[in-house]
Amino acid sequence: MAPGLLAALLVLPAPAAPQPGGAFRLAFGTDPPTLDPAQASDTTSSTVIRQIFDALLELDERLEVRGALAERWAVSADQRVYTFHLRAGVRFQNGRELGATDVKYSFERAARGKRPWVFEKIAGARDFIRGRSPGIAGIRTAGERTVEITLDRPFAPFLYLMAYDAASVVPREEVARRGATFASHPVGTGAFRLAEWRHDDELVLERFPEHFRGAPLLNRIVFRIIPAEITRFNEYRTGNLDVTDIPTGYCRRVQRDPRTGHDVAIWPTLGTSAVRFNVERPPFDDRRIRLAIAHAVDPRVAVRGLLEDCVSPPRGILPPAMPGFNERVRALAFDPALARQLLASAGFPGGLGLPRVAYYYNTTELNQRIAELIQAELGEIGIRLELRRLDWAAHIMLVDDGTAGFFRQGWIADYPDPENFLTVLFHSRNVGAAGNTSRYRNAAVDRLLDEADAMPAGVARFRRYGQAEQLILDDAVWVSLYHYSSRALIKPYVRGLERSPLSSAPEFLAPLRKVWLAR
Amino acid sequence: MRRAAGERPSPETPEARRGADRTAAGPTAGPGQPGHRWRRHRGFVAGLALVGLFVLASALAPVLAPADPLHVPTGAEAATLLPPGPHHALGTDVLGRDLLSRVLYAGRVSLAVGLGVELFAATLGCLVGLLAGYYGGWLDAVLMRATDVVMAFPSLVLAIGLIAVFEEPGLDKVFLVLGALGWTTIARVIRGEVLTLRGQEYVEAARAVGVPDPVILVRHVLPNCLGPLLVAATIGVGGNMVAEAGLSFLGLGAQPPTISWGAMLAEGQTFLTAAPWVAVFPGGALLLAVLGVNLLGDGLRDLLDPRFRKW
Repeated sequence: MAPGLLAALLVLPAPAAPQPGGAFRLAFGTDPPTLDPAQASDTTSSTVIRQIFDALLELDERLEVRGALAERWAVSADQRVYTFHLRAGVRFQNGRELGATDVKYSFERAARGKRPWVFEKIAGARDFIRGRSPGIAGIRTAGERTVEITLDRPFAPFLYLMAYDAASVVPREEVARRGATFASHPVGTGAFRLAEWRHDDELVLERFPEHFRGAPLLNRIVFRIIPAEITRFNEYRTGNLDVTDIPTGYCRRVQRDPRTGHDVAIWPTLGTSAVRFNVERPPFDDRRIRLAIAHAVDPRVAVRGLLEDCVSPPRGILPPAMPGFNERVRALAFDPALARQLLASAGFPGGLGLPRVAYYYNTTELNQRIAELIQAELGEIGIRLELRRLDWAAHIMLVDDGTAGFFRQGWIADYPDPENFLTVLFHSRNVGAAGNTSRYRNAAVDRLLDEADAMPAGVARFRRYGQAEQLILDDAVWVSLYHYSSRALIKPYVRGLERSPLSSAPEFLAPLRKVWLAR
Repeated sequence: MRRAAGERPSPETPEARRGADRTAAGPTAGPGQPGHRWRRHRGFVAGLALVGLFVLASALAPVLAPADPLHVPTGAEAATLLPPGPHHALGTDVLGRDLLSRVLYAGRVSLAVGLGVELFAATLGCLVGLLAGYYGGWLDAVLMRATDVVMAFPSLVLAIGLIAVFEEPGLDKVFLVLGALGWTTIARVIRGEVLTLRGQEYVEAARAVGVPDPVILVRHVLPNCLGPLLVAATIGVGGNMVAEAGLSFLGLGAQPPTISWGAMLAEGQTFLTAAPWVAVFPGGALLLAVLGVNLLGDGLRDLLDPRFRKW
């Protein structure tokens, strides 16, 4: 027994006391387009922005709301007025202390930026965005450290919006001084500040010792720009990166490989990959055609073969990691016999008389294979599919303007609430580029979504979303293929890297101030 | 693309001819036994065998293929990326489709494009070569400069550019573009031949008795160019197959559900380390088929052109 105990003592690491110091090395696939929270609209930019800036709130790994710049907050009884009390002694990286007016300034600035929808729920925001008023009436400052925000109507996920990186607080004087170059010379309140940025090569952050939570553990964060996933992987294996994503087609292999098996971290994220129909465009205006296609497509082949079981097979529309995910929602089952029947009842027995159906998708290896899979599966019931492969910009244009009748679309939630999926994607008010590219108009669904959107958070609200989701699925306007997951490799000495459903490799949207290196 | 492989030394460059001479294949039975000589030419026999094998396999693909090459097994029978084994001789691809069947059917596309494009290109090349060589003068100058212009472009890049002009890529566009770019070698070869033939006595005689030019070209000149034409065209077929595979690999050629070796290679490259057979079999088939065509072409050159005989 004694030798065993001794061995155990030798092997067991000392109780983990966070170790300060070191550089954390990760990689992006692309150079971040901007570091200005008002101008960003991509996850790469957001990852860096979240380290340099803070919002009023923050979401933790379990998607619970935590205070950031706001130390506490209160919601009025009618669920419309949110009062945020800012922490004392928060300093920007230029040394100035943060005040309530910075919040108002930042929100108004960002409302006219790339993500106005984050602020649209605030009273008077639409008028301000359209230039019809000098400020957002619903944002009031009371004293040095209190901000009061009034909404048009109750909106339960509003706190999530206040934790979103578009709602980061920026110092007015730096924006004025830098103008457009603020995007490459960002100054925030975050735990890290920009040290060096060689475009398309390397972006380095260094610790900001006066950060209001105390200095972070890491000295530096090095984001290298490495477009090829295989190169990122090789850099990880040679020890030049501390974390990275798993390249396409390597998911099983890295799990089996003893050199990387222990580093594999796969966690579900808030996204769903799907095919959608434009219900205004024949033949998809016929529900039976849509149902036939939905019953004929078996995405499990793609999940197993292409995605190596490293994503979740499709459930409903909401990904299982989403709060409010409803176990009881039923997607249409794979049933080719039923699909043939439906096709015949629509007047096309065996596909006879049905013209070729065009399927639109954007160019990626994976989308290409999935398109071939759908082509083969629909071929089995007699539907001939023509593949329309386009680059992302062209694809999204044809999808938004309604040209595409049958197309691929993925959706990743910006905040963990069903509203961000169901209302955005299926409410008749959002037809077109706003998100409802199915051009789906269902009064019953609209009513359920409107009710749910305005209800206070809780089970009853989620139940409404579940009902709407079931109606949408039964109408076959959206067929889920799989739910996204983050597939990462993390070196064993990396500690404190949160695996939030909002964080996806290689970007790791998590707060890196919590990370430390045990070596 | 095909120029390097397909160009036959023209009469103006004797150095090139001597260089090629040294590569001519082994000993033969000597004059008087032509059949024997063909059989003894190892490269020719190997090329013929390979090409014959692939032509046969493609023709009989519906009979030989154990499964529908497009069928994606769903549910319980789905088996993706299976290595070669008893149920799937060459394994399965990422969607569980039988690779042997796919390689067989893809061969049809590759061979059809290779031959079809060459037929088109050779016809065009013959026409240009005959006219330029026979009439000479300004017509020759114009046609040959046009040939030079087309040849001056890196042809794969030009092909990619031309295909991008079309809204939808596809095999038909590959056919058009390769045909439109592939005629130059043959035009030069034919022109060179015609330059020497047009001074021959029988051509002079035909002209003297008033035979019209088109008849002279078709009845007297063209038949005497057939040897070099056959050689250049055969080697061109291999070039076309490689070009088609390259374009399909880039996603500009065969579109699903049409299968081609190049497109299969593109599919397989993602899984090159995890499931090498997905890329190795179509790649190997392409390699062997093109090798066969080129051996056949080289053999034909050695055997048809008296200038290449060492004996």
